[in-house]
Parts: sequence; C-alpha cells; structure tokens
Amino acid sequence: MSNVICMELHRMFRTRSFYITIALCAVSVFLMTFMIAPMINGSQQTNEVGDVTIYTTVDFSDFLVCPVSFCGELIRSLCGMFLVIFVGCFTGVFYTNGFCKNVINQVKHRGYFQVGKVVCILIYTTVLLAISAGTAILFGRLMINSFTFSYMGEFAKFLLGQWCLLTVVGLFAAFVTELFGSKIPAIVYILLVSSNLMQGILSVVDGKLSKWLSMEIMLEKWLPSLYQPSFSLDAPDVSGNNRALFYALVPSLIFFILYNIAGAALITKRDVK
Amino acid sequence: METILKTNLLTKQFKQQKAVDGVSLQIERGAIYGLIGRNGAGKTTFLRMVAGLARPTSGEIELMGIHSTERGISDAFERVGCLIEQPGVYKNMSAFENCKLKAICCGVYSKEYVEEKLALVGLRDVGKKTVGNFSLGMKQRLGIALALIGEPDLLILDEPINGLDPQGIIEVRDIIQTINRERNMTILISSHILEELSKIATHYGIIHNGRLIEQISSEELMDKCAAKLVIVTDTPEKACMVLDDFGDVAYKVADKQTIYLSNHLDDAADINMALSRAGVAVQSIGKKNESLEDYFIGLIHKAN
Repeated sequence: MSNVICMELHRMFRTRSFYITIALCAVSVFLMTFMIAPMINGSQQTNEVGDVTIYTTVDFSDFLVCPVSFCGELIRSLCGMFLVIFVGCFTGVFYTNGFCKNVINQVKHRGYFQVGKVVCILIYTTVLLAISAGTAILFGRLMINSFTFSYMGEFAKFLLGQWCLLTVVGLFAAFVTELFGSKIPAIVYILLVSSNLMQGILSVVDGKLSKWLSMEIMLEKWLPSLYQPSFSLDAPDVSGNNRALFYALVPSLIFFILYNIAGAALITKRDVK
Repeated sequence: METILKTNLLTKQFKQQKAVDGVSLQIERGAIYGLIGRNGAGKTTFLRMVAGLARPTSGEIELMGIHSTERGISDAFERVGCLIEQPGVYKNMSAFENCKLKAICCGVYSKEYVEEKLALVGLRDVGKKTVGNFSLGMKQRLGIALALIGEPDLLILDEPINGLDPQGIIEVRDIIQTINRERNMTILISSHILEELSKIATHYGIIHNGRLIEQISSEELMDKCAAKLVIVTDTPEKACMVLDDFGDVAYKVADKQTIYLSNHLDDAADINMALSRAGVAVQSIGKKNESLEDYFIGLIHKAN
C-alpha cells in the first residue's frame, strides 16, 4: 500500500493541474479581495446614469472585517470548484490514458489505489485551503484598512470544517469521474453548484413534481432541493457557536466512509478498459 | 516442464455475445505462444482476462500453479506484465518518469533499474522528451519496458507490432527474442500478421469467433506447411511397403487414405508407376505447398 501511495503522491506533484488550480484559486481570491476592498474601506462610489452622476458613500464601519468573516466567504465559494477540477483531471487521466493497465494488478488489492487517491485528495485540500486562506488574509490585511486578526479560533474551526467538507467533495468528484470514466460530469456538477444554477434546476424539478403528484403536503419533506448536498460551510458568526463545525464533521465522516467504500468497490469489481 | 498458464473453458460474455467461448489452453515456461486470429476474434478479450484486467464470465485460469479461485491469485497476477492494446502512458511525462512511476508502485525503483529497462528497449537516449512527442514505435517500446518492470514471469503483448514500420517491427522482434532467450521469460503474443509471428513463436493458438480452433507447435506447423508429395489411396499399408522398397523415402501416414512424402518431390511419376505395378490404386498424387496464410485460412473455413 505504501508503494501505491508513493506512486500517487509522486504523480500528483508532477501533475500540472496541481499547481495550476492552486495558483488560479489564489489569484481568484486576490482579485475578489481587490474588488471588495474599496467597498469595505468606505470609499465614495460614483455611478453615471445618462448625464447625471450619482455619488454614494458605502459605510462598512459596523462590519467586523476579520479572517473568519472575510476570508471565509471567499474560500467557501472558490475552493470547491478548483478542487473538483483538479480531482477530475487527476483521477480521470489514470484511466483515460490507460496507465492503470500497467499497475492495477501489480498490488495485492486494487483498493490500495483508492487509499492512494484519498491521501492525495487530503494533501491537495490542505494545500489549497492553506494557500487560499493565506492569500485572503495577506491581501485582506494589505488592502482593507479595518482588517483585524480577531476570532482566529473561530477561523481555525471554520477551516477545519471546510477541510472536512472539501475532502468529501473531492472523494465525490473522484467517484463520479471513475463511474463515468470522464471528468466532465463532476466538473459540470460543481460549476452548477458554485454558480447556484443547481439550486435553480432543482427548484424547477420541485415545481414539476409538486404539479404532477399533486401532493404538496407530503412533498414538503421530500423535495429534491432540500437534499442537495452542501459542499460549503456557512462562515460562522463570531459568537463562538460550534454547531456549524459539528454539522460539518458528522456528515463528512459518513460520506467519507460511503465514498471510500463505493470507490473501492468500483475499482475492485469493474473491468479495466 | 513447468506450466505457466492454463485456462479451462474460459468464457467472457457481453450481453448476448460471447467474445471468448470456452478457451482451454496451456503454455509452458520459456515458450513464445502466438495467439492468432482475425480482428474481433476475441484475442484481446482473452488476453485481458489472463492479465487480470477483466473478469471471466465462466471458466478457470491457473497462473503459475495458482488457481483463480485461490486467495493467492493476486500474487500470481503481480508476476504478469502486459501491454494490452495501446500503451498506457502519461504523455506529458518522459519515458523515464513513466517507468519510474511503475517501478515505485512495484517497489523496485532505482535510477539504474529504470535505465536498464529503457536501454533494453532502445530508449536510453531519449532524455527528457515527453512521450507525447514519441513516434508510435517508441511508444510501443516504452509499453514493453513498462511491462518488463517488476521482472514478470509471463509477458503478455497484444499486437505489439501493429502500425509499426518494417524497422520498428524488426526492433520489437529483436527485443522479444532477447528477453525470451536471456531471461527465459514466457511470452504470450497476439497478432494477425502471421509472417512476423512465424519468425518468433514456438507455439500457436488459433482463435476464431471466440473459440480456440487449434493449438500447434511451430515444428508441427512447419511440417504441415512444408512442401510435400501427397498420395491418396485406399490401401496405404500396401503403398507404404512399396515406398519402403523404393529407396530412402521419408513418408508419414496422415490418415486412412493419405500419405505425405517430404522428399522425392520431383519423382511423382516414378512413384506412381511403382505403386501401380504393385497393384496399389492411387486416387491422386501431387505436390502440395501450403503457405501459413493458406493453412490458417483453411482452418478458419473448416471452423465456419
């Protein structure tokens, strides 16, 4: 098993998508900070409507700008997307280029490859979150006047919860990629989720189901949109509420086990093409 | 002689179609076994099952003495190296990096080991050139190098000379002969280019529509395809007595009516006269010279 893990780690660090996705995520965080910073700093904004110029002053003086409130919003919206793109590329190429034929029977159990994938996803998620959070904090501190390093404990809990959820997202993406033999379904799904289009699609499905089945009361509890997995943790408030972390850890553990079993079963039972 | 691979009624069914239908064969250590068949005959599917990449629908595989139902079968599959269809390589990595990955997975990595494998297949000097820029022949050779990593006992090559130019074919042939000769490695190779296979194979298995229709050694095949004089008569015993008196005639009784002569090929008239004088009724006598293609096509027609 250690040989397989070494091979997968070596492959991951030789993969361009590892560096490109992390770099793009960091750049995206920087750009969003760059766009948001002037608003938070309370600068005067000008809008021109025809020949009339409207001046507005946006006051964010009551908004506490700290890592957990500022960085949390940036991270939760961006990291999932880049993670799935990387996992789709990394997992998919092992099968699409046929390299799996060379190695899949060189180990006692094919399930070792699932373990190798899990280790890679854990490490990638850690690096992605660390660099994204670091970028957000660094440029937040540089660009936002009122940025403070307060509630760092809350921020650490938030990162831990987000790390758990993102790991599960990565495993889900790996499973979907292996199931369909292509990275496209996983990437399309996460793009729909990230852009909130998935919620819109599910709402349409809810409406159709309610109309066809005419059982609105029953369907209140069974509408598909209620069960869409949430792959990002709401940035917690600063009151020290640990419930958000709990709600991240427990489903993460459950889905971690489920996706690993499903992924190992898939790799073990299916013929290699 | 140790049996490396034995299959018993191996079958693979995809929905309504049987891609491999009850194939039973045996390969001894050190042999180069050529699996011949048309496109779609079931060669690749059979090789994938033997390499452990596909599960048989029914039947058994015994690999290096370990039965497919035993727990240790995964140990046996570890001793198989394969190149099935296209070589599976990372195009953005060099040949060395690709081999390094497999060597790490097998737990045998060292720089010298990988370089030795690349030198064996003639890829020592490609440097950092990525595989995406390789020619087809170079990719095939890299595929063979990858299959050799881990020192397999059985090497499975699925149409390794497909799409190669004559120079490439010669190079791959030389590699196969070298590893068989120097390392006593058993090789199972599939092809539909009979002429090439005849230069290296020691045994043949002919697959048609998923079924193994014949197994034959290269000596037997050469014997069957060699030029010969064919005598068809109802009394072969009497004919043999005449042939014994004729001189140093090398003959073989093929069946109840047919005798093959491997010499005196130009003496058909004299032999016919001798047989007639002895009262042997000859239905036909003539020279037969069968090419490999003719032999295999004849087999396939019979199977149809």
